[in-house]
Amino acid sequence: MNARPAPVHVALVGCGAVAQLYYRPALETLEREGLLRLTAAHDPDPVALDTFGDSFPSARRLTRFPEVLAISPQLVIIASPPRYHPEQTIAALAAGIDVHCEKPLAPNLAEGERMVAAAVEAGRRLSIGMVRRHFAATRAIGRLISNGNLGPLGSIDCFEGTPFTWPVRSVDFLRPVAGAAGVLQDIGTHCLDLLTWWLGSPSAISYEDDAMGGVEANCRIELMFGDVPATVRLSRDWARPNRYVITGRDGWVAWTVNETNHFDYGISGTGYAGDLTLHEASVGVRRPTLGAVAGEFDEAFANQVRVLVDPASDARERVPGADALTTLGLIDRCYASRRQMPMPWMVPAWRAAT
Amino acid sequence: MTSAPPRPGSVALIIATYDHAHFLESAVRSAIAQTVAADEIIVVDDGSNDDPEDVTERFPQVRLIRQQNAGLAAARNTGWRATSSEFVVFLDADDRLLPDALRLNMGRLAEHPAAGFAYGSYIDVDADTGLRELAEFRPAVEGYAAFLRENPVGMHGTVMYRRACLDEVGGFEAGLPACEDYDLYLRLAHRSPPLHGPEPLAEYWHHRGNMSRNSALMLRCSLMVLGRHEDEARRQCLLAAYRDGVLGWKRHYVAVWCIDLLRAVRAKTFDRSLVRQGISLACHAPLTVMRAPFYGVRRAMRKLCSRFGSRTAHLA
Repeated sequence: MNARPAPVHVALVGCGAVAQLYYRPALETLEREGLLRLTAAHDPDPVALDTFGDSFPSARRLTRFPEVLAISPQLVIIASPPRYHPEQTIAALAAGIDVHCEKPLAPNLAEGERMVAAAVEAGRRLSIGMVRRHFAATRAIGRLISNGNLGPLGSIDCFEGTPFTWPVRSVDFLRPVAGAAGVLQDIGTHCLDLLTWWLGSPSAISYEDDAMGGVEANCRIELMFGDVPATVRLSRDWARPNRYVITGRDGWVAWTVNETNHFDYGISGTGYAGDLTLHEASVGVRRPTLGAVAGEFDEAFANQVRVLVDPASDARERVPGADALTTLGLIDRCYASRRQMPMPWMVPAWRAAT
Repeated sequence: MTSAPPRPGSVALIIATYDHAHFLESAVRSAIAQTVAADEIIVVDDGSNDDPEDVTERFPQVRLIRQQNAGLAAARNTGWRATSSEFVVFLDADDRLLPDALRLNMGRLAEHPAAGFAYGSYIDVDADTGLRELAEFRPAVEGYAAFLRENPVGMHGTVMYRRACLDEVGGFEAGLPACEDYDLYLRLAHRSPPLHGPEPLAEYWHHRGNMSRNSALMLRCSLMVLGRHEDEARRQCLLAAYRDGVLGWKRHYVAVWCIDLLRAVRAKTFDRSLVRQGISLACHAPLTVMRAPFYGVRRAMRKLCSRFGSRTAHLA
């Protein structure tokens, strides 16, 4: 009988909204499964630390980051604000600890490259929390594209946005001087990561937003993947369709953001389209059959950590930190070529009337 | 330092005054009107030329301590060292506490015994017009890092200290000509996490007496105070926050000086002290001073854009 491996000792750095909403249930699940043990949680804010720590009574509550390294966990999850990612990640890697860093990996490409180089130098694993890569739907869409099921692609349109409701603890989230991230760095990281994962690096890019010295709430990116034009529109202001539509000669797919196991698939020439619900594929005695419906968001989120702590998991599902560099580079290029987007509502009424 | 252990759950209110006897009565009344009564109210007269006793003698619960003029930090130290309470609040003679100030901060500190101090929001009051405005509240959710980046505490009167922590760090550094409160926040935040809440706890009265500031002196002190934390910032992986702080102070005080300069030119009250300040600022922040005109033009452009609509918008 094989002995069950000991649970991996994990420390979580940053007990803010993403930790409380998503990492907490994921870590609870994986603890119950005996795959990991949360040995410490760190946050400089004692209120946030206590709120998070109440779910993990055996975890030490640490208000200073060096104390986390001192207890030598096997894996550190960095869920602090992005401006802290580089220093904390590099220090943990140098201390011989594997790091899973929440997106975005770093505030810019140069910092991201430093982090990836530090992982190589330390010989430790650096992974990035790109939860959408763990959705059955995004994996299936990627495979449809790479297998050529849609034929040569004609256009890509991503239109994503909701009114901003993220439960931030501080106005720093929206203050450029405090390293705030706008909608591009926030949900744009997810969107650009999916596009580059599916299609590779774009050959051209143009960008406009409404930042005007603050952080952008709306932006528009035009990209070219080879000769395929892609439009990305992102908003923190208003509810948008939240649909990605990819059209090819032989078919199209339309995916609603964060639907982990569902997308629409149209087949050209038939006049038909279907709404696909993805199941686990199980091979029966005589023929393949449908297994359970593929996992929901919480399962996908937990899977990001599961693939790091479960020796039985498929290592190919890990998203290495280096994969984030393409997106970071694109975001840098966007900001470097930033233009102000048309905002007719900013024109005074007397001018609009003429 | 007193030898008696602090009485649990007790709070002392220290009001330091220097030539502010005419403001003092309001401050004392706001101290007495708390929903949770202060156990000790101490007025420290820092060698005033006026007579704060005229005011304090009317309030039997107020104790007056006199000392030769030694500066605000020394006066505050005199005050807290003369108390035996578990919690300490410092109020300037020209400011006022709101009635729930002590209750709210005591609740926070009682709930988190490791915390060294708690602070809240405040209301700006223009003494001439009486206009009141809630100041922007900056919660230091990132603890020590937040204080490296800036000073999130907008008003010292909103802060309640745990007396034991003041004992540990020795209170205010009396030798500092300015920024003694920022220095103390940094030292305390480094040892134990600060607490905060958005409720307004005090009124910050703006009048002519507290409007004048020597930007160069303030920048020098800010950078000196912050500079002491560079090594610790590096150790705690907070060097980026530290660098943001250095840059932020430079930009802030250069901007303040520029505004003072423009006002002085407009009012034809330009004098040599502004030139001296400018030279000192240029020594401490040469690049920031060189870029100041650029920032000014950019700010003016943004104002124009927001007023008339952007060119892009216009063309659209």
